[in-house]
Amino acid sequence: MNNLMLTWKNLLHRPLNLLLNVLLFALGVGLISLLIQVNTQLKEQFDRNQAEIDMVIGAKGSPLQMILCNMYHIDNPTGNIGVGEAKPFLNPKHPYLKTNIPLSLGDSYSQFRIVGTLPGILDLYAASIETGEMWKDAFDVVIGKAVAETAGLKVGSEFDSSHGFNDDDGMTHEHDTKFKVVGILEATGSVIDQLILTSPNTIWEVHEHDHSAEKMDNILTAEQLMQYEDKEITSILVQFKSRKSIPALNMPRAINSNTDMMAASPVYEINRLYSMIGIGVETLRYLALILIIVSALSIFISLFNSLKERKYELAVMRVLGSGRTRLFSLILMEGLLIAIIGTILGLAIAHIGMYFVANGMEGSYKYSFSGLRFFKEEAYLALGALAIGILAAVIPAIKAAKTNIHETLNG
Amino acid sequence: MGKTTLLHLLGGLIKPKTGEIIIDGQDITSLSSKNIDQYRGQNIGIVFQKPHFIASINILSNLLLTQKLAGRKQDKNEILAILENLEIKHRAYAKPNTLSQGELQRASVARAVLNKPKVILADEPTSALDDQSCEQVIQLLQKTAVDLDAALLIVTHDGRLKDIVNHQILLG
Repeated sequence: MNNLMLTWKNLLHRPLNLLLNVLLFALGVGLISLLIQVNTQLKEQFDRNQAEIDMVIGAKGSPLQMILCNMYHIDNPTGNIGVGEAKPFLNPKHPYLKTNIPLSLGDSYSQFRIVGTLPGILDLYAASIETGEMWKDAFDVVIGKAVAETAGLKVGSEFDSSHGFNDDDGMTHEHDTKFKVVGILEATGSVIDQLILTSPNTIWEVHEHDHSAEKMDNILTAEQLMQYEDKEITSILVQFKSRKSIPALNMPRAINSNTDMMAASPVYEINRLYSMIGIGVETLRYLALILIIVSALSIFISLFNSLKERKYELAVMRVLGSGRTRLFSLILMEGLLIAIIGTILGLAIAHIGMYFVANGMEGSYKYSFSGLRFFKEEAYLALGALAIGILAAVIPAIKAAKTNIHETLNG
Repeated sequence: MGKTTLLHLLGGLIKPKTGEIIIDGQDITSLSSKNIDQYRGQNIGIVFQKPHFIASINILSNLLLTQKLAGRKQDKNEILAILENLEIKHRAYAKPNTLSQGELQRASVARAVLNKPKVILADEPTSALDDQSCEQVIQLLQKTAVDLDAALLIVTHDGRLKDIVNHQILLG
């Protein structure tokens, strides 16, 4: 019979109290753990997909929508822009732009977006070809790892695209020419894993409905693209040569006021998004804190009440040779033990919950989340939770240590 | 009057304002509060009027704890032997609240003598017991005191004990 055993038996002696205290504690800890997991992984995904893109140019509309659509591929395009108008920003010799990658969106295959772009997009996301080769001809596609795994495509596979971003049977394009997989990218953990890449003219050809237009050469460079001034693309992803140069800083404003196009900064827009989501997250965090405070109070009250029932036991323990410090630590350990069990249970529930939520999120956001990752913040959470457990037990423990044998047993 | 207070003084549960209490050459009033707890655990066995046990653990565990709190090795066989002597070995694994008053009082005798004390103090040990249990408990106390060569002091107003105990001090 050691102290830990005695503590545990004392807790088990009041099973309903134990259940209530542990559950309350686990709820508070679990909710915070879930918030940490979602928040951290979401931020990581956003950061990884930012790919150091400084500016996105697209059609006028909601700047946030444009960023979400063209960088994170989770929203619809704001519209298209003419190659003629965008020409200066497509020019690889532009004095202030380091990278400028055009994107043409509009089609998908089994919910994966088909992107008409230039080979330079691979450098933007630090991606490289794992099997196969780069696209050379129209309707050649290079696909991300997740596309290959989920849609079961291999090098040499052929498929028809569907119009829009939903996998809708009625919207399937019927073409003489099918898309043909020529390469598969290595997994990068960024959004490019979820994309089907091809040349811009492939996207145009899918949407040329008179089919009479004479066949054009496959576009593989910006110079080639710039010749088709009457065609349209969806957006341009831009990296500046120097972020802090005055012309670079002024460029978005100049584009927005002098052209029919819109330019937006991903950092600014995503921070705006965080601050909007932030209110909800903050509310949940307060709720979790209130839960933990209530559970601390509940631990305090049940320990305090149990002392009344146990005053003779405590007095007898002192008669048997137990010092005040032992009684103090005995009660303190009861609070701590509840906190430990509650914390473990809370973390377990939150991670198992996240494991299942992750599967759902992967489908709707095309991002991979995991319930099996533990974060530094959760270690702080656990330490804080244990401290609260001890804190809740301090006053009852002091009261226990002050047990007066003579008065108690003479009463 | 003051019977229990006297017993608590002798057991080191309270300190006298003046004077000293000497047990086997040791002045217990001069011990610090931590040391007196330890000294009591090892040298003084006390039987109270109402037997209080830790409700969440069984009788055996209560007695194991008694050994531990006195700083002794926990010895299950020793405890079971004592419980057998007191005819409550079959209750060793029962929770205290399932024992009768007589059984509980015998268990508390077991607890008082378990650490082989020099002094056994009993505060109204029989007042809650029927005649049969009363006699049993007193005989047990006397027998163990003799076995352990310990001094046995009983504080009581139970008339049934008048003819059994030889040295009697009357407090008015």
